[in-house]
Amino acid sequence: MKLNSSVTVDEVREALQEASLRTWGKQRTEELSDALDKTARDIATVMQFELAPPSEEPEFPAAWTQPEEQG
Amino acid sequence: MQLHMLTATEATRLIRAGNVSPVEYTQALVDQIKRTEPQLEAWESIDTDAALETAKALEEKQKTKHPTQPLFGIPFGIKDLLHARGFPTCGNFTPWSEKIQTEDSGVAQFLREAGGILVGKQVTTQWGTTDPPQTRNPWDLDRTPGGSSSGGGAAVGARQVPFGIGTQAVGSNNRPAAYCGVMAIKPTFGRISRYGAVGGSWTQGHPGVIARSVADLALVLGILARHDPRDPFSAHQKDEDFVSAVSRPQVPRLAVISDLMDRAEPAVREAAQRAIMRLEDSGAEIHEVQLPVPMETLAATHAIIGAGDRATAHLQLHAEHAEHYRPIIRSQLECGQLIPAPVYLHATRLRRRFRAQMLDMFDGGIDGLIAPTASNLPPDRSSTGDSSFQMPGTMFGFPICSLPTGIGSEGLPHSVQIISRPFEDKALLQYAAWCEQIFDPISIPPNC
Repeated sequence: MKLNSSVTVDEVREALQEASLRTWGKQRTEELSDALDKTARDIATVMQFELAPPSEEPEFPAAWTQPEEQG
Repeated sequence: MQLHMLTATEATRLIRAGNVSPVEYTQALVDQIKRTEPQLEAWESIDTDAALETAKALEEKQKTKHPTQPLFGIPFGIKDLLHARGFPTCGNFTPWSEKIQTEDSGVAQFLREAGGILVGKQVTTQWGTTDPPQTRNPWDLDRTPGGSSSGGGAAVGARQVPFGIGTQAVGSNNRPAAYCGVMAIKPTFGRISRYGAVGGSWTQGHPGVIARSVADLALVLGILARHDPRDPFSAHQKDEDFVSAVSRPQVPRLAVISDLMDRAEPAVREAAQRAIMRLEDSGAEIHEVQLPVPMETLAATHAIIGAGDRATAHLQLHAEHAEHYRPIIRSQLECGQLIPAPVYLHATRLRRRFRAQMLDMFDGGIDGLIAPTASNLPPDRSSTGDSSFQMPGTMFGFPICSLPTGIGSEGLPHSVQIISRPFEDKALLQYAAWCEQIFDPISIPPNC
């Protein structure tokens, strides 16, 4: 699937379905149906927000920006 | 005197004064555990003999030297997602049930160094998610104590120990406390070391405290709030005297999160409204705010990040032991593995934006945001209840204190939460101490 703000829940669901079939197989994919539905909705929800590149960076662990511990 | 009814603060005073011995206090709690544990099943692993031995050793020490450690002779429990030397860390996961840990987590280490007596590991849902565990609610044995810190909520609620350490990545520390009629604080993310914590909620989860008084929350947080270089997310923080602070309660300016009030079950909403009215009648300034982002959007963002963190943390274990995972967490992990990396990173960028918007809710001099701790009263044991009301504060690392407000007509405890700005944990406890004076004290559950 193309990840942009116009991706639909159905498109995400289809992509997850294909990925799940390849990864977990048919039976497990059927068992995961509700969970895949929810994950698709969650992905479509967050992807609707456009963020300004290259600002609005993700956060990284604060330790990476702190001096090395001594001793 | 019923010693098991003492809070940690009360017990330390009596022990230091020589009016109660560590062995007497520990024995009283051991007796309470024996009385109530068959019904509650709050403990995953427990060693009361070792606890009493430790109490005896402390008692001997007290004969020659006046105790100065802040938790001298006080038994406690920690959630079975935190390592403790001499105990396995099972995570409610069978393949991990046999391996005895040889090193303490940061939490266990600091509490033991403070004179505390670790009694055992309290039940968690599997890996801290939502598959219901074996533990029961001391207020109604047919209801859940909440989760994932199920054992901590139940054990403290039943007066088996005066405090416990839970963890929270959504609502797992504060919600069990609320459902079991006790208090809790999930402090600012980074306050308490996550060294030796397992579960995989790397960027959203961390330890919290469950206790029966604000003074106890302050006592324990005062011991645990410190930088631990072994935890890469541990905050560099100044020393703060939480214990003295709560002896000076502060009247807060509070803003009611109206979205959460509207979503609460009617009995919960009405109880919270009554509690807030009591605060206002007693002098608190009450305003109203709305979340800057719809709950569904916050929930989706939080879920993507949590799923990515957990799925990654469990890649190897899941590959080896998939059949040992319970249904809900197994589904979450397997779906989590399918989330593309750009989606996860996009969610973390969104979290940063939403966090800034959430901080704006404190504009105009608001000290704390108030709402019910949970949307519902504890349901039956087929679930661990609803954690959604804790999610907004938790996902952004804000400190949250949960306070019981009284017992409802249905015989169950009601609670409210107060959320403060990051690193205003001391002030939050001062507001909580003020509110504690106004709310009804919660008695021991009738089953205990």
